[in-house]
Amino acid sequence: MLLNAETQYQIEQFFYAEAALLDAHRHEEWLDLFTDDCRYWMPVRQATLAKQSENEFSKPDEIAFFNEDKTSLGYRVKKIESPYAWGESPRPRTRHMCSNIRVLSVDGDEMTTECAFVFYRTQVEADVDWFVGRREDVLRRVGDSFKIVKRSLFLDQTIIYAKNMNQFF
Amino acid sequence: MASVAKCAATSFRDRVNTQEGLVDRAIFSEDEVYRVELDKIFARAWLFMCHASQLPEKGDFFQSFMGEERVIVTRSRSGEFEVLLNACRHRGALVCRANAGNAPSFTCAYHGWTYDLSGNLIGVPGLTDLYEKSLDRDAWGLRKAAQVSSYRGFIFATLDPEAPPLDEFLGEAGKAMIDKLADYGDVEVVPGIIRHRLKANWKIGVENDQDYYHVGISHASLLDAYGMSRSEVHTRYWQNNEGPSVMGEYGHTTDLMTGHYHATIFPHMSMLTDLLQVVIVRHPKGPREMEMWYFTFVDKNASAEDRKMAIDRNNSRLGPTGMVEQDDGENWEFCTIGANSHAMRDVPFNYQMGLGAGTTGDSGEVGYPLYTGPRTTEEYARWRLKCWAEWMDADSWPDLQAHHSKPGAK
Repeated sequence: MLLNAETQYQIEQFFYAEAALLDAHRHEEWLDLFTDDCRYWMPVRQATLAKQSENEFSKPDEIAFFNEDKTSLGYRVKKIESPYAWGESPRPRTRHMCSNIRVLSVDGDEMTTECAFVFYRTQVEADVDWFVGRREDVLRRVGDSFKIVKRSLFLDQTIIYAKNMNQFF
Repeated sequence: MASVAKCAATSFRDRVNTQEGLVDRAIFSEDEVYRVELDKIFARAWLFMCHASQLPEKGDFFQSFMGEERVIVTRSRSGEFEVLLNACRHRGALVCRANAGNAPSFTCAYHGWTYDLSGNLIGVPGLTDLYEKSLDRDAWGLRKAAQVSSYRGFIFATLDPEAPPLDEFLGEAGKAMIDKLADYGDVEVVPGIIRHRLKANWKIGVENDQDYYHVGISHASLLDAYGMSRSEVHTRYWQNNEGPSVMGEYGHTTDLMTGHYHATIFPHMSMLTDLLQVVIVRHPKGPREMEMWYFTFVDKNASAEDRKMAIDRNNSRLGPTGMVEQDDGENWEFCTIGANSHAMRDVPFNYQMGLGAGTTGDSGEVGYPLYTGPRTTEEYARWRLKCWAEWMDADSWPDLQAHHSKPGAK
């Protein structure tokens, strides 16, 4: 895959379109952006001594906030779309943002990208949640767009202050 | 209107009317109640700290809380577990900032007082020049929990020197609840302690563990996602659900249902031990706030496949992202808002489900009395609140030992 300004532009537009789907609550279309063999992972973070930072994040075979494949992501989409998803009514107002987008490596028709994400959510009356972190995506070129093969989400906070994390990142 | 005698209340027993199933809502929100809880429950009870598997090496430490007190659980040079208050004896600053790790000692970043793994003060900058060696280092070590003990690797501590041994506090019933998790094998905690802050009273969270009334309602979207029928769930929980449960001494409770075994060691340690393998602790953070910590347990000798399945089951259901627990936190926050209502301050909460149903037998072959009756019931909550009031009214451990309810006693 050729890495140039055009590719960077395509990646950015892909991520912005993805964010727009989430903020419009179009979850099924969002799910279609993932490959059938995808992995969606968010480890648990803890505060460690500076010299012991290798233990900061849980490992892939340990506890995680998310450790999903396409099937389990699908169940989560069905749940959030259910008329009995009490937390979705009124709809949370969300804004997914990503910046500092870089391509870290290219391997055939796949590439690994990194970005900083900011996810703002406000709901009910005055509930406000901010989720900020680093995101790594493995994207696969499919036609003139991409699919997400692997998404890894590294939250900056160690304690979750939001009443839940029902939405997708 | 039915009411609890809040205004005239001279005791906490008056605010928890378990005969009629009426509970003063303010016990879930009031600043003064919470202040008493810190003294009479969290500074008195044996509290779960962590599991021995988290501290395999000398120098390993894990930060926890006793009520709102920050403590460091350490594995000392002699291999003992110590529970140290994380506050420098000089000006009270933290001496440890990490959740967990390995360290030879703890140094205060303010003036450099340094403590060893057992809390001994081993370093004071300027001891000769500024204190002229007159400071008695032996007298100024970190404060420690009054007692530390463990049962099958589950480490507990209490701030009260008068507390009876852990064995007596847990009783046969409490120990059986821990056995249910420990019996999975040579269990260890899987790395990744989830910490989740909610604007909810800690008791409301604890109550939910044995609330089988809410499952088909709160979690209806989960059932929907998996194509399960809500009426089937209601049938399972609401009908034909008679059986044994445990309403244990000092407020320890559990159901004995296959697929559940949701147990609570009073005050705030919950264990979901069938299907799930987890300890959940609800640290109080004020009258209307708490922090839930999740410890997942697996058998060290489990096959890779079994280990993965156990971890996946917990991951998919628990914590703020859990397909089950996504729905719970908001309810508890809303309940806490309701508990704090000014206009309804004299209107009690209703705890009347299953009132008068069921019977408690004698200590039989299991070694502790079983309650037999409906298992979708508020009996668990009534019993625990009754015990809670006894803890709150007691002046001391000896007073509590002399004046607390025994299961089945008339």
